[in-house]
Order: sequence, then C-alpha cells, then structure tokens
Amino acid sequence: MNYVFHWSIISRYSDYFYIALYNTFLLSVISIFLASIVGVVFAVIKTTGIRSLKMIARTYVVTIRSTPLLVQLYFIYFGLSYININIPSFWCGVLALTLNSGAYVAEIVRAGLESIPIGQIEASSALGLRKLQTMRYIILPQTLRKVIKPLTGQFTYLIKDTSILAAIGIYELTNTANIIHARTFRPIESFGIALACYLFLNLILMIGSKIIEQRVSLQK
Amino acid sequence: MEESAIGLFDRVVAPLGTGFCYTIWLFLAASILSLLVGFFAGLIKNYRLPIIHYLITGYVTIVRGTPFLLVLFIIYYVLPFFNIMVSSFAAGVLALIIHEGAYITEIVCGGIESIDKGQLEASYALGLNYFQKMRYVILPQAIKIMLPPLAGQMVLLIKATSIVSLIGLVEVTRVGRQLAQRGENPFLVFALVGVFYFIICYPVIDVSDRLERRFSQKNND
Amino acid sequence: MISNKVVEVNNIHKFFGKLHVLKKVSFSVYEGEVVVICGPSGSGKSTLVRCINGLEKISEGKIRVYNLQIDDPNTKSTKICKQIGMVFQEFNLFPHMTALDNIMLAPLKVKRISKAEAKDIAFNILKKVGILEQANKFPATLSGGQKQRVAIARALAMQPKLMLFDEPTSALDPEMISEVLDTMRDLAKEGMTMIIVSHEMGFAREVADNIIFFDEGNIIEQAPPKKFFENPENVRTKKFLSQIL
Repeated sequence: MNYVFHWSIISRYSDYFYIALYNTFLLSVISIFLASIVGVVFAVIKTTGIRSLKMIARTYVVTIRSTPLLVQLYFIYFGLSYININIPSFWCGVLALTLNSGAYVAEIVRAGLESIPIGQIEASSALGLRKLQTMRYIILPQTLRKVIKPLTGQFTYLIKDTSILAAIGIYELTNTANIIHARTFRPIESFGIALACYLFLNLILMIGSKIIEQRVSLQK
Repeated sequence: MEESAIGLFDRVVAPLGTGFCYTIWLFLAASILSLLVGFFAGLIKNYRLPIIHYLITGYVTIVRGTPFLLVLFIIYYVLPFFNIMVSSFAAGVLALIIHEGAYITEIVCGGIESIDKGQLEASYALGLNYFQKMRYVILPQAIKIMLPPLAGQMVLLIKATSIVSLIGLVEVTRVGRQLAQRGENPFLVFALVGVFYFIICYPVIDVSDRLERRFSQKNND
Repeated sequence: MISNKVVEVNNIHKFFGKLHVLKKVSFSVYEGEVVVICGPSGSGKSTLVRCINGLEKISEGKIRVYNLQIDDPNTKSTKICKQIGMVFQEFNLFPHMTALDNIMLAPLKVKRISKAEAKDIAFNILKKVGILEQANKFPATLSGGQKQRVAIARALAMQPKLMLFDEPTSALDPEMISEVLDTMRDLAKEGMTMIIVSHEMGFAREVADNIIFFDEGNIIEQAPPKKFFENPENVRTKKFLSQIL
C-alpha cells in the first residue's frame, strides 16, 4: 500500500508537540526528584529502622513491585475522586509515578548501602567517628557512586512510564501523538516524532548521568 | 445498590476473573514467543555476524528507549495502513514480543558473554564446533545466570499486559476501570485487580530475589 | 633414524593492535622432542604457543604442524585440534560436568566414537594420570593439582600427536606442582612430542631435549639443557638464569 509522508501536517500541529514534550519533561523531572526523596527515606528505614517501620516499608515495596503501574494509577485517580478529593490529573500522575519509582529507588539505594563492607563502619568507629559522621563522610559518598548507574536505569523507566498517564487524559507525548494521528490519519509521522522525543529525553538523562558519574569518580 | 456478598461476587469478582483470563492468555502467548525471539536474537547478536549485529543492536537500543504504550499504538494503528487488520489481542501480543524481545535479547547475549573466555578456549582446543560448544559447554552454564533476570522480565511482561487495556482489550485492568466508572468502590475494585497480579508476580519475584542473592554469595566466596 | 619434523614455525609475526608481540620467530620441533620455552612475563611465549594450534591467529608468516598449514584460513580448526592437545594455566575445566564427562565430551562429539569406547579410553587415561577415584567428581571439589591432571587427561583423550602446555603449574600451590610435573614426565618418557611454556627450570633440565629462552618477542637462545644451563651464550640468558636459579 502506498503511504505518502506528509510531514507538513505535523508542523501544523507542532505547538501541541512542544506542549507534550514540555509536559513529559516536567512530569519526569518532578517525579524523579520526589521519587529520589521517597526512595532514600525508605531505604534508610529498611536498613536502620524499627521493626514495625521496616515491615511497612517492605509491604510498600513488595506491593509496588507486584502490581502494574496502571493499576496503581487507577487506584489513586478513581480512589481520590470517589472520596471527593479532587486534585488535577497532572498531580495524580506525579503521585503515582513517585510512589512507583520510589519503591524501586528504595531497593537500589538499600542495595548500595548494604554493599558497603562492614569493615568500613568498624574502622570508622575505631577512629572515633560518631554514627552521623560515619554516614556523612564514609557511607553516603560511596553509596552515591555505586548507585548512579542503576538509578539512571530506573529513571529511564520513569520517563517511559509517563506514557501511561495517557490513561487519565494527560497531554503527554504518547497521548498527544495518538490524538494528532487520529485527527490527521498520519500515524507514522505522529508516533515517529513522539519516539524521537523519547530518545532525545533519554539522551539528556544519559548525558546528565555521565557528568555526575565523572564528577564523583575516583579516577581523575 | 445491594451490598450482599453474592451480589458483590457477581458484579465485581466474576467480571474481573473473566478479564484475568484474557490477561493470562495474553501473557502465555507473549511470553513463549518473546522468549523464543529474544533467545535467538541474543544468540545471533553474540555470534557477531557483520551487518545483522548492528541491525539487532539498533533494534534493541531503539525499543529499549521507547515506552511500551507507544510501541503498542504503532503496531495497532500503523498496520491497518498496510492492509493488515489486527485485533487488540493480536496487536498486544505482537507489541509485547517486540518490546520484551529486545530486553530478553540483551539478557541472553549478556549471559553468554559473561561466561569465562577460558571455556571458549578449551572448547576450541578440543575441536568442538560452534553448535557443540554452545550446546554442551556455554549454554548450560549461561542459562543458570540468565534465569533471575529472565524471571524478572516475565514479571514486567505480565504487568505490561495491563497497558494493552488502552487499545480496548478487555483484560482485568480494563474491567476494573469499567467497574470503577460504573460507580463501584475503586479501592475495592483495584485492590482486587492488584491481588490478581500479585498472585502471579510475588512468588516469581521472591524466588528470583533468592536466586540472585544465592548467586552473588557464591561469587563472593 | 631421522625423526619427522612435527612443527615448523617460519618467520611469524603477531600484532595485538599496535603491539608487536612476536617478532620474526622461527623454530622447529621434531617427533618425540620435548621443548621448554622459558622467559620473563610478557615476553610473548604464551602467545607463541597459542598460535601453534590456531587459538591466536598470526599476522604474518607460516606455521605447519605435520601436514596441516595452520596459517591457511581454509584449514579447518577441528582438524587441527584433533592432532594437537592443549593444557591451560587456568585449567579451563567445564564446571558443570564431572571429571569423566569433561574427558569424554570431545571424543564422543568430535571423534564420534561410541559411549562405551569413550568411557574405556577415559578410564584408562584417568588411571594412567592417577586420579581414577575422582572420575565422578565435579571440578569444584578437586584440588588444583587434580584439576590440572584432569585437564591433561581431557587433552590426551583425543589421542593427539602433539601436546601444548601453557604454564601448566603457574596457578598451582607449591605442594601440588610435583604431581603435575610427574604426569608430564611420564608423558615425555612415552615419546609424546611436547611444547611446554614453564618456569620450572629443574623440570626443564631433567626432561627437555631443547630449551628456548624467549624475551620481547624474540628467541634469544636455543640449546639442549646441558649447554643451556652450563654454557649460555647470550648475556640476557645469563641474566635470566642468574635471577631464576
């Protein structure tokens, strides 16, 4: 079948694509930031917390890992409106992404913390450092270095997961591309642009991660 | 609305169960086929045939950077332009094969390449050809390494089936959404939906975590 | 009685990228000869031996083993490896198979003999090498010396005409070196043609017919043990010997 490319149609809708790219970018950045905080908090709870807090943290992580993001999103979106709490879908999406990624970040950070050999902690207390100082000067810097690569992987997933917010009507890249394709009957161009945008966002993430890696690297 | 237990079952649990059957069918078809595709692509990628290697690497890199929903939309909406009509189930299976296949390719290729080079040298020195080397020496060792990440990928696959609901397939997540839109208690509905996924995902995740812990302990000795 | 020339290495060069590892190396090995190649680390002696059975490809030159031209791309590697056995420094045993299965694999699949015949050969070699009781054990449960003897048995099971040894005892704890050297000594007595890369100079003096001192990609000196140890010609050889002995 003949498929004639009409890229001009797309430039007519370029505004929508810019907005979509912006939305996806915003969702990603905010969720990455919040998920990191949530993740670190739960990671610390899981490694040094009280037993009951540990159980809550474990239940949270296991539940998130064993259920799809879309189901978590619907749970929050339909749930909140059922009990008459009306927040904009954008923030519903951010909440779902944050809670979802937060669990995976918690696991990554926890693995990083636990991989620090116990000899380091023993040596530092033998030198007279207090618990907080040990954390700040010994444990955290090493954990940070170990954790950058897997976190970058997790945040790549997060950027792609923003597409699922299409289910609640948010005008991010995938949803917008779908809407425009329905209007113009040009699926290849529409989805192609969305694809290119995702690869672009991933590229930015990769570059940012490489820069951070080199900043904290021990090999100068 | 009547809140009796039987009524609840009829209204909520039964439709969800029916939807879950679609989830299972989708998962079985997609998992078997994507494992086959990924396994052979991984082997071919490892073999390093000149042009094909770059094609496979390109495919893997692009697909891994693309959201599954986008891949799904592309399959579902582009194929009709080439006169291929697909049902949402077929599009779902195809999209899952393409998307998951890319990850499995990497797992398989990575697993094979993680085997000590000395095993390859000993196989060469004994005169084994490629197939004998793979079948008797490399693959038996590599498969043990591949199992935890492959199990993890299967969990991701079954969670991805929920996204196929967005092109209309009436699997369990879509049924849940329909019930919630009809006025049922969404906390109840989606908790139940979650339980369906949980029953399958949790045991796999648990076993996979244990396997991975045991494997890294062995390496640390 | 004139011996056959088993190995002829003719003006070979080997580059790893820009690194010139083997620089115009030539030598020959005759049937039944035991040649020991010694020299400092990084001299290229391992690479030299690995080129002989085609594990590494030479950049220039010719290598002939019996009537097989190793450097010819049309020569099938399976054909080469049926004639030549190789023993590695790191053993490279297959960890998921028992010692017996390690030994039987190649005869069964490459030579395609029957299982009964393969088992027969395997048991005989295990007995000869002195580890019959370890037949059904997995490599992880064997000592270093036992592992290397299984590796030697595995190579011998193919009944090769030439055996290559790449630093066979360098990865072993001292107390296990002698059991492996004993096995190699017996093999030499039976008339096997052997090329051995090794630091074991006592063994070389006792067993070798010819000793080659290799350094920086070149053969520096080549002589029978008596001359090599008592009257070395080259300054570098003398320096090396004074450091080792």
